[in-house]
Amino acid sequence: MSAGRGTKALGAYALERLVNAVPLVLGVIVVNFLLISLAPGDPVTALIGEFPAPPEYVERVRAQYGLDQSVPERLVRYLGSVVRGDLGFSFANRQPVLDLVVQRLGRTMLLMLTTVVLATFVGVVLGVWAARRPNSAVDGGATGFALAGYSIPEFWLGQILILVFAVWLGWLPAGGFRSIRAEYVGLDAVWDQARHMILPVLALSFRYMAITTRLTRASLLEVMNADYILAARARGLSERRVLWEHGLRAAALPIITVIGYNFSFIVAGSALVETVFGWPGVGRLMYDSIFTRDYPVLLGILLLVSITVILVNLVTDIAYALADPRVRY
Amino acid sequence: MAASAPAATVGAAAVWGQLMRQRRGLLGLAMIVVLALVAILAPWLAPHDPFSTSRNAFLPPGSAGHLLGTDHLGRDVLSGVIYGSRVSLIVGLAAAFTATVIGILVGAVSGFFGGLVDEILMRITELFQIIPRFVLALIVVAFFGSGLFNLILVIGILSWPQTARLVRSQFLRHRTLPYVDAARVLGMRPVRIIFREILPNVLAPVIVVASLDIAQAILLEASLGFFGLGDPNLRSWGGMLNTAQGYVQRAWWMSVFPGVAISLAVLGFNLFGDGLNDATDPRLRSGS
Amino acid sequence: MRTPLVLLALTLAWLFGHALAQAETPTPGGTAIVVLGSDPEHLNAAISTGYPIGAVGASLYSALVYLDRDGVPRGELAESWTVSDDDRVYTFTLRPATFHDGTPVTSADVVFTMEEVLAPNHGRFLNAYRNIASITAPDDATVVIELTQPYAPLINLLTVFEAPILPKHVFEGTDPLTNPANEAPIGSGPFRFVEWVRGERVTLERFEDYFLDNALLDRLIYRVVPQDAARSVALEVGEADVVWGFYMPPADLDRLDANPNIEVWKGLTIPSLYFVFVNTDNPALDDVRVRQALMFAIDREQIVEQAQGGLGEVAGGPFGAGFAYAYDEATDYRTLYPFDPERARELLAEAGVGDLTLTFVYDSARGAFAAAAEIMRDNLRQVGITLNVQPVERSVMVERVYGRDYDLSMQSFTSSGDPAIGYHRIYLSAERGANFVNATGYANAEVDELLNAAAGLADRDARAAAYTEVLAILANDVPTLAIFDELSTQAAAANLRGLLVRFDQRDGLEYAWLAP
Repeated sequence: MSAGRGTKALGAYALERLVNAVPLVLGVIVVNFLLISLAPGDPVTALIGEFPAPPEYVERVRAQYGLDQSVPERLVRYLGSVVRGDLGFSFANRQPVLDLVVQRLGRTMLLMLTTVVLATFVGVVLGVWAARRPNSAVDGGATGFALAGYSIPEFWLGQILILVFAVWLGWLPAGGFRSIRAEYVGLDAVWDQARHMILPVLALSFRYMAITTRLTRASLLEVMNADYILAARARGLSERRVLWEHGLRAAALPIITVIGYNFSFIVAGSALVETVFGWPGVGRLMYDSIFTRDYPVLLGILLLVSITVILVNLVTDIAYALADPRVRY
Repeated sequence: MAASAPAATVGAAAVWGQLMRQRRGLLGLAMIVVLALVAILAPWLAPHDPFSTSRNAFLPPGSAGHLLGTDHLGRDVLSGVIYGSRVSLIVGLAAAFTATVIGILVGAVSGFFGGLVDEILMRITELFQIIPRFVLALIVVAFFGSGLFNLILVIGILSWPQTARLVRSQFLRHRTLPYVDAARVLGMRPVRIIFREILPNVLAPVIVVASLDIAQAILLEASLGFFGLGDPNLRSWGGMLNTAQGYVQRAWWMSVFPGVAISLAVLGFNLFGDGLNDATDPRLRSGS
Repeated sequence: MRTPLVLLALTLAWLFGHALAQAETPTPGGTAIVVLGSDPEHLNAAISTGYPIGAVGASLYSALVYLDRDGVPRGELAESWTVSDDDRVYTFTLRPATFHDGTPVTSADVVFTMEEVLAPNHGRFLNAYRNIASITAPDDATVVIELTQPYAPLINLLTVFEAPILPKHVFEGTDPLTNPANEAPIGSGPFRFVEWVRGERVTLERFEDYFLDNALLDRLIYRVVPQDAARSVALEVGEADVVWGFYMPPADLDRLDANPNIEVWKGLTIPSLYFVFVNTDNPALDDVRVRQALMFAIDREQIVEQAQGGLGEVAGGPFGAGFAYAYDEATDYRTLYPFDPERARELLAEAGVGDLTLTFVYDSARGAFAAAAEIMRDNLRQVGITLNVQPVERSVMVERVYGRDYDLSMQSFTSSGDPAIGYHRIYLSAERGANFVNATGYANAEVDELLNAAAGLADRDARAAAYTEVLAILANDVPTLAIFDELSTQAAAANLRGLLVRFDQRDGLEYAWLAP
């Protein structure tokens, strides 16, 4: 890629990547559209209730939703509207898809960002702790935790958390976004919200905590023997300072990378966790839309998630570049 | 899965680590062997027919004849867990195999020929990496049906990009090496060079990724099953968890045991892949 | 209307003594939380037949009539109505009523809603509309519906679930499917719209200018709880007050019943019948002995007990238990077809059928069907039939079943208050590919004739005679395997009183009140 450094080059690089993303997004739309349109089953059936409908009524509904046109015609029309920033109109919800998704997006982001922050924090602390005494009991424990976290399905973990903390112990709510009965305000509202978030965030973050722990540990072990670390030690810096200041700085790169590149898996995980906990986010909307055959909503969510993944990857690359001066973009 | 399993250790402490890790790999292998044995010997191991219903619903674990209890239809949970291993293993192996074959083909062609072919194939690879895999699998299986064959195909087709990228990077490295040049000079055809000359040399890391792919495929199948999109004519762990949702309070054992089984199976393949990773190339970084 | 009621109440209070009367006097105030299993897609009950939309709609909108607890139509917006001697002209007189935005409800709103919104967009109303010749408004307080032929079920199809009345001035000249009022509805029901947080809850409050007795609750919140298990937990911890049977996880009923703070009710309200279609296009299934063998082979009691969590009654006939005049003890399936695998094997042997594999198609979203399928798989295995279970997404199910690409398919049909609306279509011969009618390919001219005759008979005894003949034929031919009648249920906070006052449990929440 382009040689040179500095914000200017970085900007150009970002721009280039964005331009390159355009055909990619186009591909995403076409693939998803064809896949969904060619699926067996008629969305008009889902739009009509369970009753013997006269054919002229069926045709009227079909025309109303533009489903009387051929697939290529519909694809062209869809592409045209997407370019104008219009993701279409939901069959079932009779609302613009974008409005529908945006309403839910905040709640999904709340879940995901809390997860990323928690997973990163705990993962880094555990990883550093393990790396300080490789092969000690602490290390073994952290590594074991990491492998377990990587193997336990989040939806099952969610079920078990509900069983233990909501059903058996009764400490935390079994699901939902917040209490409905009491209208909390101020700090109480924050606490109420937090109580509802604990279990879903735990279920969702376990896997990423595990990944971050593993990565932090491995990256630290790798750099701790590098020359500049040895030099720092030689200068008489305390082991703690060496670890946190020099080691972690170097280890930051793979950590950023893993969070960035795992983003689409966090999205998938949140769809599962939202379903288990009845969290009213985008994942839940997607799940509902499958059963109402709400094609525009499904396409819209797939598209938005794909764009988000592209952007997060781009931000990850830029963050990587900023964190590591050796990287040339 | 971009979640790399980086090994990479140099120095004094690493020797120990290597050993530890190898022990882990062996443990993983042992778990896989047990899983395979359970799957193969299911008809002899299972105390009951997995589909056999009875009026004895919701028997708790430890009941006479039902070590892990019974479900809402009086079916034996232990037998379900034993037979479920078959679905997980078959889907895991077959889907990972499908993904590996596609990945090798795409990666090899892309890396060997380079140029426009590479450009196009890598764009397609990127496309598959960007579309959220689980979401798409869910939609496809919901609309096209959730038979075993469909599950394998969908999971396989959505899981190859990582292998393709890995194989491509290896091929890019190898295609300029002297032995490949020699083969070219001898007039060997590209297909032969790709499969007979280069491929055997880059297979080790591919196998590592494949074993991690198996773990991911098992997890994905279980997730689909949890959403009610497993093969309806087979007892699977994900499917058992799906029905268990409505009975979490009434019968915790319906949720707990299949989930433990999934976690152990996935853990086995992850441990094994991890160990293999270290054993084959201490500097290898799969994924990112 | 209101004055005599108050007088009656006062008289009763005097009769039963002061203390008792006070204990039983509904007190206004408070908030009740009702559980919905999924988010309503929008809040316009006139353009959708969806269950959650109907639920919220029942409190937001009003209609010409409502069905009382016993299913008898009573006037709501209509103060009274008359029927012409030839049963073809219905004349409704409206009460003075206002919409939530303050404008009066007039006959113009009724005509507009029916003609412009309901007829093109509401599936079940269409059933009635096809028999309607004209809807007119001779004056502000009168609506006249003229039929093309006598159609007894008409009144039952004018409730808030089939014909909620919208304000004409809000919808006129707009596309009813995209009108902003679908998100912030304006009705004339006992509660008015306050707020909708998608995926979470819909909040309503008492409408102070309601044309009948004002609702007792200050607020009514419909809370979305998608996970089965979480609904009963919400009830137990006081985060919800009502869970209807439609959303009830049957496995939790016993536990809820044991809880002194929760009142569990079970009963038969809107009859809903679960049965298995048998595709007679399959030569093996065209043999009546094979169909009878299936009836003997399937353990319907086990299905009721385990798949339905006990919330059902083994079906006695092709029209279920909802209608006494469409039931005959002599042809009760429970005595004709007890669970008898031995008898099933004999019949299959007689028919020369061995090693049969049947595909069993059903809507994948229906959990009870999945459990029933597993029991049937096990049952049929015992008589040498392999069941290939194929749950498919609903629109695919519709295509396959009504295109007759299946062997067996589980279905549930609701009668809508009259066998002629809900159940005749299952047995009348029908074209392949026509949806939600007879998908079995069973065609019997005698059955057709008898059913068509029964639909036109206003006299219940005459109808019963026709049905007895039909029942005898169907009991022998079994084109559908009637499995069970669904029992309705409801679990509610014990201090929430005044529930279940109307036919549909979603309706009549204006009578609900919180005991201190």
